[in-house]
Amino acid sequence: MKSLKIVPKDAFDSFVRSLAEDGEVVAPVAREPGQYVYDSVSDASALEDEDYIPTLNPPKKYFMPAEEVLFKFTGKGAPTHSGVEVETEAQAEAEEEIVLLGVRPCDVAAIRLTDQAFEDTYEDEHYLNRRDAATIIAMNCQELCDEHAFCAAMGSLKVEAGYDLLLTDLGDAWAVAAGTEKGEQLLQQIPGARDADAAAQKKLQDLTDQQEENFENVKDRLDFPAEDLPEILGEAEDHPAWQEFGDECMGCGRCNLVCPTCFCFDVLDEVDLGLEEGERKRQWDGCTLLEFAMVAGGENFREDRDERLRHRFYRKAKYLPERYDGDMYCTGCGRCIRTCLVDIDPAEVFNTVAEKPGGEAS
Amino acid sequence: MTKAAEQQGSVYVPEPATIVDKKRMTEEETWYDLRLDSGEQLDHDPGQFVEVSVFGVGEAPISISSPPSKEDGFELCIRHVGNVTNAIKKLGMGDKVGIRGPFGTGFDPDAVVGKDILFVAGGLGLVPLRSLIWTVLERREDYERVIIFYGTRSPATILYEDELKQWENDPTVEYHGTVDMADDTWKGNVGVVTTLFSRVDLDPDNTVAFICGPDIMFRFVVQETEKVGIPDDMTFLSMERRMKCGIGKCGHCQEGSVYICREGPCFSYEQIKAL
Ligand SMILES: Cc1cc2nc3c(=O)[nH]c(=O)nc-3n(C[C@H](O)[C@H](O)[C@H](O)COP(=O)(O)OP(=O)(O)OC[C@H]3O[C@@H](n4cnc5c(N)ncnc54)[C@H](O)[C@@H]3O)c2cc1C
Ligand code: SF4
Ligand code: SF4
Ligand code: FES
Repeated sequence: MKSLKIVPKDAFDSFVRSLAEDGEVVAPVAREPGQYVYDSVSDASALEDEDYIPTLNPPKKYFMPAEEVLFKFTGKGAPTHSGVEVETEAQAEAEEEIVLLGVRPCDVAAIRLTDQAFEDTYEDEHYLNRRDAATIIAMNCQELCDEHAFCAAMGSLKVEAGYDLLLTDLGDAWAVAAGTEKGEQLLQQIPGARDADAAAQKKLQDLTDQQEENFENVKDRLDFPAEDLPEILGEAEDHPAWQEFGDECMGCGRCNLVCPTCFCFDVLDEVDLGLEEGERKRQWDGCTLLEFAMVAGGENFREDRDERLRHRFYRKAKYLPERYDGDMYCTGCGRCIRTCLVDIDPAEVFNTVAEKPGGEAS
Repeated sequence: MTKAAEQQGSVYVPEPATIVDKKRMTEEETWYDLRLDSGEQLDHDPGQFVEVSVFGVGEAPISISSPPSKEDGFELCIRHVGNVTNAIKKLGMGDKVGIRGPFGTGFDPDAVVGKDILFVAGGLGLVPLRSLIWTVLERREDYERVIIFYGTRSPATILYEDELKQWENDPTVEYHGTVDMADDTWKGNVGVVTTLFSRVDLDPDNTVAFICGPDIMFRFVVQETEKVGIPDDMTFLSMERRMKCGIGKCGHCQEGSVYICREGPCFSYEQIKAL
C-alpha cells in the first residue's frame, strides 16, 4: 500500500526550506502575471498561487535540455582528415539532484510519457540519469487553470504514476501521497506528518469528487472519448480540414518547443577552431519545421505545412498511442494553444476531423 | 549492439572502427572494408544498418553490405552526396570512423527456405541486398531458384561489377542486369528494371521477392510483383527515411506508427501497405 500522510502547511513549508538548503528546488513561479516559469524556490509558497496556469516551458527541460552534449571527442589534426585519433567520452554521468515542486497533473502525465519513450529498448542515459536525479513533488488541480486547457478530456488530470509525492490541498494541511519508493522514504522524513485519520480520508474523498465535478465540462472539450482518437484519425487522413489548418499554420515550430510530450531531436557536431576538439550535441527539433523529414537528395517526405501539422497530431494521438499501449501523447495542457500565433487548438482540430466533411458527425 | 558499445554507457557514443581497405566503385560510390577497434563482430542480419560517424561532421545511416558470415569486419558502400558522406570520401586506409549499431530489422533468410528467391535491386539498392544475396548463395541448397534483377542508370554506375560477373557465370543463379541508358560499350539490356520481368517465368505460389532501390522504383516494381501474383507478405522491401538516432528516439524516421529505424528498414509489402 502506498502511504498517505497529512502534513500541516507550516510543517511542509519548513520541510521544503530544508530541501532547498540541501539542494536545488524548483517550482512554477510567476515571472509576470500569467507567465509562469520553473525557477529556484526556497519555500513552499509557490504552491499557494491560485492564478497558476501551465508554465511557458514544461519541466521537460530538466531531463532533456534544449541543447545538450552527448559526448566529446578529440583528434590530432582535423577530424575529417587522415591521422585522426578519436577518444569518446560519455557525458551521461550522474546528474545533480533536483526537486521539482508543484508539478501539475498534466505535466506529471507528460513526464511519465517521455520516460516511457526514453526507456524503450535502447535506454537513453542522458535523459534517464537526469530523471533519476530528480524528485517529483506533484500537486493536484482542484479547478481548471484556464480556458485553453483540456486535461480532463485527455485523461491526464487523474495522476496515477510519474510522481514521487502527490499533494492535495486540504486547506490548512497537505494530504501527501507517496508514489514511489523514493517518495515513501521522503515521506518518512517530513516532520509533523501524521497518518490520515478518517476525517482526513473523508475530506480527501470529497475533494476528489469535487474535482470530478469541477472538470466535468472540460471532458466535453472533445466530442468523443480520447481513446477513440487513433481510430478516428485513421479514417480522417484525407479530411479537407487538414488543408485549412495547414493554410493557417505558419510552420514556426513553437507548438513543438513548448509541448511537454514532444521529444524529437536533431543531432549535430561542433568543433573548435583548431579542429582538435569537438562535441556531438542534440537539440530539440520540431516536426512542424520544414527540414524535419528531408532526406539526402533534398526529397522531403512531408513537404507541405498541412502534412507536417497533420503529422504532429497523428503522432500525438495515433502513432505513439499505437506504439505505447494506447497512451495519448497529448496531455491537454494547452501550452501549444497559448503560444500559437493563429490559435490552432488540438481539441478543436480533433473535433473537426472527427466530423465528416460537410458537418454531420461520422 | 556489440559488448564494447554496451560498456560505453551512452547509446549515442560510437565505437571506433578503422578503414582497412577501400575501393572507388563508380564516380559517386566507394566501397569500404572496416574493422571495429574492439575486435568484435557486428553480428548483424542482412538488411540492417549502422550509423557511421565522422567526428566533427556528423552521422549517416548506411546499410551493411557484407553478409554476416564475413569473418573479420564488415563492408559498406557509400554514395557521396552530402556532409557526412563526402567527409568519409576524404578518409583513407588506417583512418577512423565511429560506428553504432547494427540497428533496425533485417531480412530473415530462414523464413524463406525452400522458396524461389527473386532479388530486385535498383542503383544503390544493391548495397543492402548484397548482404542477403551472399547469405542465400552460401546456403544455396536451402532454396530453389535464385533470380537477381539489377538495374542502374548507366553502365558507369554499376556497383560490384566483379560479383555481378560471378553471378552471371554461376549456373545456379539467374542473373539479369539492365541500364536505363546505354553507352557504346554496353551490350546488355536497356530499360528500367521492371522490363526484366518479361525475361523470366516466375511461380507466384513459391516466389518471394526482395526489393531495394529508390522509392519511385518500389512503386513500379511492386506493380510487377503484384501482376505476377506474388503475395504481399512474400514481397519484402527496404525503406529509406531521414534518420538521426537510429534507435527510435529522435522521431525523424517516423512513418505511421512505426519508426523505420526500429521496425524497419526492412518490411513486407503487406506491412508497408498498412502504414
Ligand atoms: C536505412 C538506410 C540505409 C542506407 N544505406 C545507405 C548505403 O548503404 N549507402 C549509401 O550511400 N547511403 C545509404 N543511405 C543514405 C544515407 O544515409 C544518406 O545519403 C546520408 O545520410 C546522407 O548524409 P550526408 O550527411 O552525407 O548528407 P547531408 O549533408 O545530410 O545532405 C544530403 C543531401 O541532401 C541535401 N540537403 C540536406 N539538408 C538539406 C536542406 N536543409 N535543404 C535542402 N537540401 C538539403 C544536400 O544538399 C545533399 O544533397 C541509407 C539510408 C538509410 C535510412
Ligand atoms: S491543464 Fe489541467 S492538470 Fe494542467 S494545470 Fe491546467 S487544470 Fe491542472
Ligand atoms: S499538444 Fe498542446 S495541449 Fe497537447 S500536450 Fe502538447 S502542448 Fe499540451
Ligand atoms: S532515426 Fe531517430 S527515431 Fe528513427
